[in-house]
Amino acid sequence: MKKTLSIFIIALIASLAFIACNDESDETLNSDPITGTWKLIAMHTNGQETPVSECGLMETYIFGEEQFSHELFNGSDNDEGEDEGEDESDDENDASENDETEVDDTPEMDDTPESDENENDDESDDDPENGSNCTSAGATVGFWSTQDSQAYTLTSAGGNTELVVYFENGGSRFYYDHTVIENGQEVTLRYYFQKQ
Amino acid sequence: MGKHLLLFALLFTITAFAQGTDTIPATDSTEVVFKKRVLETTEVDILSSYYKQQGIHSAVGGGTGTEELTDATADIIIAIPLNDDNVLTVDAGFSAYTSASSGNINPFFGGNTGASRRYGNFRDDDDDDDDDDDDYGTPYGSPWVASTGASQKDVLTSISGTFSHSSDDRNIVWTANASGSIEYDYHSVGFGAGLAKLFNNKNTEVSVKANAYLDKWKPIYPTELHEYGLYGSDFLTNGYFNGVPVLDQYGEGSSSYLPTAFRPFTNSNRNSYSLSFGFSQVLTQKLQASIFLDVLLQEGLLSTPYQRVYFADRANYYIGKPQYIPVYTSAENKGVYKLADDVERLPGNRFKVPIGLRLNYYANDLHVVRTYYRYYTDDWGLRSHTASVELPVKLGQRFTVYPMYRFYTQKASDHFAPHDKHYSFEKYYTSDHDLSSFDSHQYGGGFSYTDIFQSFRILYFGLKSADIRFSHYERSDSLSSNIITIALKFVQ
Repeated sequence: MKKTLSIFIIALIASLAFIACNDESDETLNSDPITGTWKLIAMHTNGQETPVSECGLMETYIFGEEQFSHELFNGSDNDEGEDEGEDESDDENDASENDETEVDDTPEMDDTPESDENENDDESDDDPENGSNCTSAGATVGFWSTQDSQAYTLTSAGGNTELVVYFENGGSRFYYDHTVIENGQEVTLRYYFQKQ
Repeated sequence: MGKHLLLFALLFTITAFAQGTDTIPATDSTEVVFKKRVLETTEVDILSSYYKQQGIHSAVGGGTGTEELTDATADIIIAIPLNDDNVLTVDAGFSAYTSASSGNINPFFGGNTGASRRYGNFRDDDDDDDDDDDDYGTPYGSPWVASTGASQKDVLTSISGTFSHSSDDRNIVWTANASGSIEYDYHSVGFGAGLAKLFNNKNTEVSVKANAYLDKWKPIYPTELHEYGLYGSDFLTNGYFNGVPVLDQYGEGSSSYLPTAFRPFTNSNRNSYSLSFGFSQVLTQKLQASIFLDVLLQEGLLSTPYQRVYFADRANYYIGKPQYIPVYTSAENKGVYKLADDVERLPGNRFKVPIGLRLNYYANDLHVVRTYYRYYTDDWGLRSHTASVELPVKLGQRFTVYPMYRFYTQKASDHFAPHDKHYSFEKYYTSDHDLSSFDSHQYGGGFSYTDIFQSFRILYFGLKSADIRFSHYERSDSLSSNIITIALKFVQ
């Protein structure tokens, strides 16, 4: 009798666990591959790798389910790559109106010992204060849409920008090309972004 | 013979007094029956628990944001036999919690602003000379990051007392109780009485209990609404918002944010009344069943004053780092907070009816099956079912293990909608996911040790039992928690 009951109890627990496991809701969304946080890792000019300044490498795209942001950084390090990055940003989405909302990142945290943890989080991601002189040039915020998961339209207060994005490395990296005219010559700039 | 009888009666009487007057004259003056004390000696229960939860639907954040919370409790319950029939039980305890969610009543870090100083996320070092020199920049926050505001932690202190009296035949027990609790923004006073009647050689029990709780809020509102309540339509140029950039959905500076739906609550009382009926029956030697029905009425301020609501038909406004606006509802948002349209608004009355059933099956000396089912309904549209099973298995004379499982399913309240899904024309609204539709599973178990001889003693008390329980809880809306509870029972 006791053995039968023990078997019954084990069977009951197993059944309940099975029911519970089956009932797990799957909240995974089929997100577009562009969603996430992307940081600039390299730039090519007409197929040749071009040095990018420390501040230039802080350029970040954040794509949510509907909206995007694009943040660029200025700095006093005199790396030659910096100018090109800034030029590009001006051509694209740089919303100068954002200056008034420019965020001064985290120095105010120095005197708030309670918030050490958050301070660390921020520093690892987006604070330009790690020994460099990079400061945010402001973030452009808007909405994005796509027709075929490669051509993206970014709509911000400054207007529309079309980006043709090529994903690599299983979707962990993308690049896009941007053509400008310099000294009467057509120059193709290719920007590589790594998913964070 | 008469002298012997007198001597016997005298000895018996002395013995009876020595044993705590365990005998009483029955209705017939010539008959003496044994009356066991309701509680032989003083019992002391010491309970402690540690609870930790995480989730993604903070009610303070209007249905989005971290729900991280830890709670540590300690309780001492002392049951004192006042005489053969009366027992006084005193329960005193505290519960200390830290909550990322409630910390975000004021979510903002930094910013050399009035509110940040006022709410305490700015540590004044008592050295005023340098404060003016510090550049605190633009304040920012995130529903995914715990603010360090004063409301991040609190301690609930509670005390209650219950007096119970049992009739001589132990078939009638009546109780009276009173309680009080206090925390920073809430205090409660309660009282009640109950009556239980046993029949059929105590195989049947009927009980009724009534309770009333008279509670009072000290309403605390989200920072942005507090400022609006304080300064009215000029609040963007006064107090906290003076000099603080407010951003629109495109991250552009805006002066259009105006939470006109907000108005402070005029009634801060919350009263709760309950009437509980119980019926318990020993059906067979192995089977015991009980049913209960509660009728509860609440009135007053049933909304939680600091739980934000965002309207889908109102533009969104933010404070903080605009680059995080696209990922506002995900943990990637480390620096922007959306300003509320209002706090939750719920009806001033709530009528709740839970009805339940317990079945305990004592299979043999080693196995018991305890089952429980409850149906709940209220006039806010909430419906729920709870089912649980606990399977204590004795391991020898002193040890028992008891695995348990509890299933719960709930249909949402009529007044619930998720983050940013309410409309401004609605009368009642909340984005508190405790009122949403969800299922939950709780798995756990316990281990208990019982020593009726109390061989382990501390001062005048012997350890009668020790109990440790652990359970894991998972909700279909991503809330999960763990709790561990330890209970020790000492007897004098």
